[in-house]
Amino acid sequence: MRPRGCIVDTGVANLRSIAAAISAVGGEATTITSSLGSAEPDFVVLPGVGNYGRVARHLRETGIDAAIHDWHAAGVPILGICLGMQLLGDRSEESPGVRGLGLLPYSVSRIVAGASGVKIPHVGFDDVHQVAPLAMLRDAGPAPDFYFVHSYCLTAVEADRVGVTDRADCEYGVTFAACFEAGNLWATQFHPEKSQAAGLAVLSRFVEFAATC
Amino acid sequence: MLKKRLIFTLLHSDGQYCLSRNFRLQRVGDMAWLQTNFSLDLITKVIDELHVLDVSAGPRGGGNFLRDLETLVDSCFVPVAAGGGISGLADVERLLRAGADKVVVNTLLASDPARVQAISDSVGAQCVVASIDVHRDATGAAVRAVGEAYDGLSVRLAAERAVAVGAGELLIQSVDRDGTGQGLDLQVLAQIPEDSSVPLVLMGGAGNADHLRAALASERVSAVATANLLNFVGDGLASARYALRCAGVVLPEHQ
Repeated sequence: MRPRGCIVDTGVANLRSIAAAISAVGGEATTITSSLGSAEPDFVVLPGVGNYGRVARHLRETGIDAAIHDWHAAGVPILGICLGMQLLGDRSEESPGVRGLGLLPYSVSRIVAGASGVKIPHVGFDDVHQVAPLAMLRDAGPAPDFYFVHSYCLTAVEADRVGVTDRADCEYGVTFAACFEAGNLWATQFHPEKSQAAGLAVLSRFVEFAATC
Repeated sequence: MLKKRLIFTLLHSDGQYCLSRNFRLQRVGDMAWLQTNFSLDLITKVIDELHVLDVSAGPRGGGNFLRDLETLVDSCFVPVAAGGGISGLADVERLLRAGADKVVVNTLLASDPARVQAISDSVGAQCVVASIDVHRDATGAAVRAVGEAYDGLSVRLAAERAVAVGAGELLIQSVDRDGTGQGLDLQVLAQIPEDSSVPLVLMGGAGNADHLRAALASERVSAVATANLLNFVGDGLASARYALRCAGVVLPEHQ
């Protein structure tokens, strides 16, 4: 039976592509705008584009923040995408003073160009390298390309500090976590729904993971 | 390492897709035609970005176009840029709701640049592509074309102003080379400020893989776009992509 999950409407993300991609890899998902009447899903996708503070507040106000905590405690697989990945942590330099979901104790910081002179935001296809073997990148090859568009990131140094070591990194001004797996929490800084076959494979592995939980 | 991009552009006119030569359009077929005769499914798997532009003669951005955009977004898992006749934020929001990741503005840059700034402030610069059409006048100078006319503004100034009002990307298209299959106008690169902070896409005149390669060979060019439905039909674009990668162009690996 196809896993039936939910995609959180954060108020700013374009959900169409994610819904189409989830469907293309054999999952079913409904969009939720609040926690009202939401039965426990087989999986949760938290997408996100836009401002950290605004979306964090939106999740709190709609009760979705609390629902995600409950589902996480119950072991429901959760996939955070782009800003969604950033929101799984404690805080972000983008919105000082605003709390994230806090499911993992990390801080998100602005990409620093440093001596490399790279332009911000980081936009385009870039390659990622596994730091440890990941289920989501099984069969992906040594340096698969994914589509990124972001100005903030979970740095590799910070990921190490909080023990998020099952991950793949990308280099852009700084080494940052491109994606990770931490128990039932999966996350990608890149957009799998915009990354051709490689991206669909990541979503397929996530839906498979949900089917086995 | 950030990769270069191969972009395909679909020109939509009142429900039909078009070939273009020097910006004169010839209708070829509708979405069903694209799917069966053009192997749209295959094409979308070998590109890094899709552009869909409404070049209809009448009112643009209407139901026909939005429905087609939704169909394309649903089956194409790469970034999609949409445009054609954007006159303000409401048009932009309609396109984004239909699934576009970015919008393409052209005439608005000339007619109301402040509106482009407002759009950029609202949706973010990375969402706004400034499309500038280039014609070479009798002296060979590169001037901006706006609609049917040339407003005489140098491409250099047009590009600077576009970035100043919040465009996150420049798409420079040669009217003179468009549809000729004779290769892109690479000399126009001399008109784009060296220290330009935004990615540059070149378009107009691609007939074969070597034209695409020549454009992408320049360090300053981030992407090349083609709307040539006939030259890359069937597995033409897949072959071109393979040839580009063999020639050392660093494009994303799409298995």
